[in-house]
Amino acid sequence: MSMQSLINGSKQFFNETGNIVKFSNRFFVVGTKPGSEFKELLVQCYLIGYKSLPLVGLTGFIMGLVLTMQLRPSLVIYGVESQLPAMVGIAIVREIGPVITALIFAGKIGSSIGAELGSMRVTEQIDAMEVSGINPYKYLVATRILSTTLMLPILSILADAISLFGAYIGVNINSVTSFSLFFTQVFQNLDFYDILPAVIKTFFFGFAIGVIGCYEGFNSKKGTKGVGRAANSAVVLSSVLVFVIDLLAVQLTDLMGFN
Amino acid sequence: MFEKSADKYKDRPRVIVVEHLSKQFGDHVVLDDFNLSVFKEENVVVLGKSGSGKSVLVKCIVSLLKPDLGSIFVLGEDISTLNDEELDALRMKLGFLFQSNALYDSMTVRENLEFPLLRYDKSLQKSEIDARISEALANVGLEHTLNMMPAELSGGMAKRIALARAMILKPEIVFYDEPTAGLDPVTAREIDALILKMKRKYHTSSIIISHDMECVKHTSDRVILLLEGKCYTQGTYQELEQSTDEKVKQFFESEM
Ligand SMILES: Nc1ncnc2c1ncn2[C@@H]1O[C@H](COP(=O)(O)OP(=O)(O)O)[C@@H](O)[C@H]1O
Ligand SMILES: [Mg+2]
Repeated sequence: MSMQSLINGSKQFFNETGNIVKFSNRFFVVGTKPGSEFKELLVQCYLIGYKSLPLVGLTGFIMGLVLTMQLRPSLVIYGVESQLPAMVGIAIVREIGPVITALIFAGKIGSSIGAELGSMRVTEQIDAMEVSGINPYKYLVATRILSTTLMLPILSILADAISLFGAYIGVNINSVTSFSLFFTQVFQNLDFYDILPAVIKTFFFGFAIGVIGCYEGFNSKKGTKGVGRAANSAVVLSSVLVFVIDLLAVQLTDLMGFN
Repeated sequence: MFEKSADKYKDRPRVIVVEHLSKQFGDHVVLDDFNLSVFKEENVVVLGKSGSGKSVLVKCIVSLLKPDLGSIFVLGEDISTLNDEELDALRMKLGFLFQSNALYDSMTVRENLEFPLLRYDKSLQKSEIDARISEALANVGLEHTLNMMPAELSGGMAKRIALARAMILKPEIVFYDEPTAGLDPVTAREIDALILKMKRKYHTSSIIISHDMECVKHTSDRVILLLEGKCYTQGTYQELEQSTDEKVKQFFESEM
């Protein structure tokens, strides 16, 4: 019986994965015809990007500050406290900034897209669009996926910057370092190949979060429970995907010799 | 019986032809070899208990659901052969009033009405759009709601706005899914009157889904009884009212 449920479970998994891949493929067919829903794209960029700024900024700031305060004692033990800005800089830009921003983004935007499209599905608004000759995939889905893909990289670069500012304050709690010295030390140890892969992967994070949020909402089951489930699975699944993509990205940059 | 009841319409062209339509979800057979024709400018009511597959039937006709078997012709076109663009073009000639109204709740009344219009004809001038929107709102007597949000409308008002939106492209065929369900009797009769008004004014043909017998009585030219996935019987309201068949009588006896 457990064997059977294992088989069923994996069948379901591959089915679902196939459906998600098919769903995202439509984006490359439909979503790349520009102009047609440009206004909705701008609205979504505003809602998805601009409106996430305070949250992303706040978490970024705290992250930089806390990371610095946590790292210092270990560095003091080894007598390399002076390396603090360099270490925090690398940690933030290469890993923590993009991943934490993506997770916050998945929580905020993934769930809201899932719930919004889910409730539009169950109240037949998506059907209504379709029968009036409007392609709901183009209007609702493609615009949202494009917005998350474009906005998350911008947000995560901003989060990096704010985070580094937090780190600067963290460094200054115990010792006095000038603003310019701190940033000189940070950027001396960061090169183009630290920054580029970190930025590229955020496009994939953004794409994944948009696709999953839209997929869950678009295929939401009837009833309020269905909407709740859509929002919930959107967050869970896209957060897991962020880690999976992160893992693949680090392997890939390793292979390409960027480390 | 069909020949007799459709007298007035039977020489007209058929705008909808459904043949041998079958649809099931898993093991649950909803429609089973269902047949139906709608003639031009005819109001056909599909009567059936809740859960009998009435909504599934109309959703198959507008291609929101794919039938398992059978063919569906709408305005002369076999909908299963249409590509996405052809289907969208055909759908512009159809209006659909959803049971839940399905007003876009993030948009104002005006935007709800504008939404299909803007995409229907990109060359429309602002003055023409304004005129079409005013006409649509005047038809349902709700000009003052222009800038309201759907959440601010009462049930009857939302139904009227949804009807105005369904009519905004001046469709040839309108589908009404339980147009009076959940409304008080007074409002429900007003909706009946609006359905008749739209037919007179725009010469539409319609499929009206209902189990509100007052609505059926007022709006139908012909009634089709959907039972166990099939067309059990059909005729005018008066013919069915006088039927001695137990299953038909049920609908007239109980206020469902
Ligand atoms: N998308 C769907 N998936 C599975 N079952 C469905 C779906 N849509 C409708 N059904 C089932 O089909 C039957 C008929 O539904 P419906 O046409 O909505 O009934 P009604 O006559 O009240 O409009 C119901 O038993 C419903 O559960
Ligand atoms: Mg129904």
